[in-house]
Amino acid sequence: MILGLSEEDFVRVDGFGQENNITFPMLLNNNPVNPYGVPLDGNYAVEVVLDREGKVVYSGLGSTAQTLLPVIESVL
Amino acid sequence: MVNLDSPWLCAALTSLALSVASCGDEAPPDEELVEEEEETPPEDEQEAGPDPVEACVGTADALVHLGSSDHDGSMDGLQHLAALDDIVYGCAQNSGMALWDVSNLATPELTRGDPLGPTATCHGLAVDKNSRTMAVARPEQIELYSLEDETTPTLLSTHPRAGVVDLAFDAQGQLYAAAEDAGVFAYQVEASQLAETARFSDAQSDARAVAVVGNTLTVAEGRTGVRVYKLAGDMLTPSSALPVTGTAVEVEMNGAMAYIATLEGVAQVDTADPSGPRLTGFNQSPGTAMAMTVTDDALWVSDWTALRAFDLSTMAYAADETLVNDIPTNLDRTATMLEDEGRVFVAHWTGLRTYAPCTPSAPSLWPEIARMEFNNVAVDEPKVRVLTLRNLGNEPLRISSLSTDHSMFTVSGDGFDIPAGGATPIEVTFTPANDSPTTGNLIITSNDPDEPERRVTVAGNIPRAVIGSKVEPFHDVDTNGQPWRPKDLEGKVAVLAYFAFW
Repeated sequence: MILGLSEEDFVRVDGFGQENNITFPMLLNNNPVNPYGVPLDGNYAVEVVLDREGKVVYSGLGSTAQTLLPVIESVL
Repeated sequence: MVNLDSPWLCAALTSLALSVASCGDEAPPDEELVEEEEETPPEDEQEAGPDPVEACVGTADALVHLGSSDHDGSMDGLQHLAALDDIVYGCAQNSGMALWDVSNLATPELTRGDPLGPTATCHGLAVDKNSRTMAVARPEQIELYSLEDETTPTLLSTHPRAGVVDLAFDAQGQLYAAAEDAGVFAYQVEASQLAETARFSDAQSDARAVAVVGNTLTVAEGRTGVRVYKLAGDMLTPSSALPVTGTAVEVEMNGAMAYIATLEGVAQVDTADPSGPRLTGFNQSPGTAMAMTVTDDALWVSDWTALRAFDLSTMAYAADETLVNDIPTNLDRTATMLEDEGRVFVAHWTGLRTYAPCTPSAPSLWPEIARMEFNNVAVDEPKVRVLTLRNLGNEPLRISSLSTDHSMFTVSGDGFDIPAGGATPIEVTFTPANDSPTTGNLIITSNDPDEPERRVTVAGNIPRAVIGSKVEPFHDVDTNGQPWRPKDLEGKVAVLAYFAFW
């Protein structure tokens, strides 16, 4: 099987993000205790999804596109 | 459109030239999601504690780690394995085929890379031990190699077939190929050549993975679920699709029982009647179930950061092994596993690990959680939480001391025994002296021969994102050096991706 570890699988670059005007800042935070309570370990990113009002609708560690897209679509 | 089956990965992010994000070797936490703030998260939502690799837990075998062959950035996306004698063949999405000499399981040695060079692409691989032939899926073709000299694959023939992502031989040496949207194909192999045309194909199948036992071909079909084909002569008669929870991406057979990794868990499907496969069990995985292998009575499932064992007969969760102790690197993005003649090979992102089933012969300490959190605790108002220590070995476990390395955390008791298979709760107290986030370690010393000192992370008043609340103020710089504040995101849907490297 192909795990899809390619660029087109990343929601930001396959048109999904651009089409829907989603902002994807990749923030550096070297404090293991990040503002979202998820311990960053250098292996995975912590993802936080915000709606248009700036409210948190999701946070997680090493999230998958499968996990994120329904969340994003729910607030578009 | 986005491929929903694909994990959103640090690797994918770094592949986008966001190279400042590290995909290093620090041990990943097991905790997957933090969806809402809780004063005291239930224990089953806490980070799972590591199981000792030397303890055989429940009815499933545990695995003993024997050796590693890590290759840093020289191998990228290892996702298929096959073995012949003492050679393991690997298939890496972005660096092609590779061979390891595993004659010494403690020191697996990478002996040969892809004959097409280090930038070759490999999407699938299978070995027919009887004919000593290997099939390799490239982006545009299938290649057959002779393994008469197993250390030096010799190209026999190529066959044009684009999009193949998984391959399997049957007992007669015929080849089956899963090609996602292009379907599933069956090829006759004669005189080291694939027949020019497939003897069977089903273009309706969204075939992600194939496995064949006897006259039954089982196909993992992505979101469609599972389809089983009955083989009779040149005909393959398909069953109707059997839906499963999640997206079927991998299939492993044990006799007539098929196990399907669905990214959300593992489905157990009885294929004894190929015309009517039956769903007989489903066990949700804590992570993203994507690779499996069978050892005796256990089904081992990789769900990205850990190997988890399920009892084959009941599908009950049996053990969780996160590879602690003296293992130098973590189980990072495990995409494939292979059981071969009593050996187990696990491919993580850039390398190979070797394992063997274990035999218990000692006490073995297992703290039920690896990280204990105390949230929203007021200054000078102590809060107590209970941690259960288990002895998963078969001899008495002596806890000789309990301590912490931070004065705000205290622990009660020491100098007690836990019988084989037994458990004892201990109390840990957090007494904050201020409102600041605080972390430390609970230190447990015992007669566990493999890890006489075990540490459990303790954390107090760690802030959490509160679902439904305004994002906390931040002023962070992105990987391009651009600063961001919440006001920069006003009126937009945003995905903040926090990285760390050190």
